[in-house]
Amino acid sequence: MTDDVHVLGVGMTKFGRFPERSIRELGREAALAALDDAGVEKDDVGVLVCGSARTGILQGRESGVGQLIGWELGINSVPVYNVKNYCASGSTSFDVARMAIASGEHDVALAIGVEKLSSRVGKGAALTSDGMEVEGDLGFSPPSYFGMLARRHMDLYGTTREQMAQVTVKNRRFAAMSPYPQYRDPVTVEEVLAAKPVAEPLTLLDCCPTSDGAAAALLVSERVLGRYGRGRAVRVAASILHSGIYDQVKDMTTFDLDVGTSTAAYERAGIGPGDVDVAEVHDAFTIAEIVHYEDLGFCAKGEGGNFVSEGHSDLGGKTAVATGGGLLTRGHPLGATGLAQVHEVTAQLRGEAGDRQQPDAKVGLTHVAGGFLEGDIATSTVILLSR
Amino acid sequence: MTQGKDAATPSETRFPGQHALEQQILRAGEGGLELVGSRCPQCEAAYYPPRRLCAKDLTECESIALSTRGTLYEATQIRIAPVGFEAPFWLGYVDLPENVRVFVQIRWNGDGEPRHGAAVDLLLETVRTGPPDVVGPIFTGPV
Repeated sequence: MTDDVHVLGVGMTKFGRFPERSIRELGREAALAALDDAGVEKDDVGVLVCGSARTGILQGRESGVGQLIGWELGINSVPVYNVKNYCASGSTSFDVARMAIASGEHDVALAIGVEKLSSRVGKGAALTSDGMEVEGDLGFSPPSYFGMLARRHMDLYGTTREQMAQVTVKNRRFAAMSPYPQYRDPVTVEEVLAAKPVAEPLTLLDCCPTSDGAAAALLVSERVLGRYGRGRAVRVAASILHSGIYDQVKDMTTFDLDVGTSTAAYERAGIGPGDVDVAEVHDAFTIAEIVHYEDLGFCAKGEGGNFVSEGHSDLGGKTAVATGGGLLTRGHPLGATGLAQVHEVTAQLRGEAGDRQQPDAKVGLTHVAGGFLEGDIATSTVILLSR
Repeated sequence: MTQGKDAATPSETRFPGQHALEQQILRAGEGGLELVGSRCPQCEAAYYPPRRLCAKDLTECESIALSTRGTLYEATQIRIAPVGFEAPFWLGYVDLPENVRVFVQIRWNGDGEPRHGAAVDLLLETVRTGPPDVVGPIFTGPV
């Protein structure tokens, strides 16, 4: 990086099913909240980046979601970059905004992510994962992949159904302490196990729900940080985006892509996984959070089940994970997720997370693993923030 | 490099079905339908679904019929079916001797559940009810 980049403000909508709310309205609310949080006027924004993944097929707006939300905000004339990158569309918009500043081209960048999955304009076939058309014709859906992954992890490492369920129990407990998640009621291990089966061994409560929402982050350069006040700013220590490796014949219980992305992020930031106090990971499924502990280096391979059952991912543990409730309780509006993660980690590093505050959080991580392409995960982002 | 049609699935050997899945992964061989992959003549790397150019050296790949016996890597029972499918049914990854892993439906006729390491055999039958019905790979066991 040629220059330090800082997160000066964050904002997000409540996540949930909002059939009456449009993507422009959701995006506007999140962006205004980020501007307000940063204390930055909309006319100071030099570049706008907008992430969304499914607005074309669902809302009939393939291009120009960023311009649409910019129009809502009265932000015009500035460069707008529209980003579509699977589940990582939001974290990718963050990375583009970060590069826009690090390059020296801009000083103030607004990254927005938005998605509306609960309803669609017109009719059409059920959504399949982009890049999995052959598999889709055989019945593929993401739960089928993670159901197999769970069975393999149980077989190889003795991970239990109860340990997986504990991920949902933990994330629901965090969700009750945050105003944003869709599902905020506590659940028990027994309730997770007894929920409707989806793809063995996963039940409905092992899977993230359908959700709508938006989130945004206002990034500034070191050059102008003094103008706005350094007080609540959080530094971007690293932001790394990698794409898939596509080796099919592999150990399903580890994502080599995530290992590479996180290793690069730690090297860039000059820290190690042991330094991470708080993390938002891509917990689209309970077993996914367990595998991410391992791939991101929070624990050794195969120890992910114990990591949650021994409390290491809870408040006061080695790395508190999904204190914002995670995908499991917020839901996963694809374009918004990466920036909702930045929202939570920023709150943690500022010490503003209330009852769900990880004590003395200094380094936070966000992680998204998105999309499938020919049997492998297609994209991975890891962002490290510090104060 | 020649720039003709997709060499991995030459049109003259394609399964006459209209569906994209059938077009991409099936062909009519001498002994009946075959599941198709591709192989790089330069480095021997095999691929499924078939691809035209080798990912390692961009050599034009050859179309190959994949083995009909494989080893189950893992499977899961689907309990909430997508449109066109009827739950419960099994999906799985099967490893083939060509060093490719194929995502398929699993039909398990034995006691218990299909497990990692089980030998399974290929059937090419209806995998999705239409209209139109779609033919694709199902691996069945125990062998």
